[in-house]
Amino acid sequence: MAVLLSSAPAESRGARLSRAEQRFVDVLLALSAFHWGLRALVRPEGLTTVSLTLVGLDLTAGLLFLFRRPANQHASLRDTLLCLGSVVLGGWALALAPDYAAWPPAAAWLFAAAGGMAVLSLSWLGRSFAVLPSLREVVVRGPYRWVRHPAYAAESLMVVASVLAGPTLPAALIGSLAIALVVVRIFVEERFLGQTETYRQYQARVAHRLVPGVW
Amino acid sequence: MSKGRVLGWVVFIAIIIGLNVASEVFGWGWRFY
Repeated sequence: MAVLLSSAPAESRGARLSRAEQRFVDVLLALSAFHWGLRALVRPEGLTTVSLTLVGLDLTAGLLFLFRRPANQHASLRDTLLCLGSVVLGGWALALAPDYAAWPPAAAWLFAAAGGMAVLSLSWLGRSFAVLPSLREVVVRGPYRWVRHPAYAAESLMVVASVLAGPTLPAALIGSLAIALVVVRIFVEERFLGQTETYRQYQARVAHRLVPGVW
Repeated sequence: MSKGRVLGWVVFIAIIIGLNVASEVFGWGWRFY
């Protein structure tokens, strides 16, 4: 998740895309997120706690794609691909779960609570929102006061809920790998963001990455 | 625009279209951000 750099210059520094190209990408991503959210509304099993959570997450992300700032710098292709792993595996873990209407209530409510945390965290990022590592204005308020990656913590809980909804061996393996890749994503992202003094100061102020008081 | 850049755009747009088609066919979506 991108965070960063209140002292960034107005012009791109090493960005691979022009501002107009970034805007085009953001519009495509926003339209896709809206599409995925609307698609969750018309699933065969009807509206469920899980599908409504996904609608909320997709609509939030869609709006943030539309209104976010252009990045001052993007990570390398290698780092970008390393960060994509947890996103893809997380989606796979959810795809392995049973039909949403068949989820045990505890798993569905855990998914909804974690989804709410994710929506809240992404909303606090606001115009600094990103899926891949990139330099934007640092966000240190809201849940970012307690851990450096509250959205990843919330989405990891969503993966756990997906596995609990249909606890098979493949689901457990994919879910575990997805969370392991969240850890990889955090290391990759922080190595990229840590090139700036602003982020190093934030790391010194907020000690824990994912779980308050633990890690 | 270089050939590499054109190829990058083609791949990116193909991925976006693919993900959207997949959501129609399989009810799948990106889901995590």
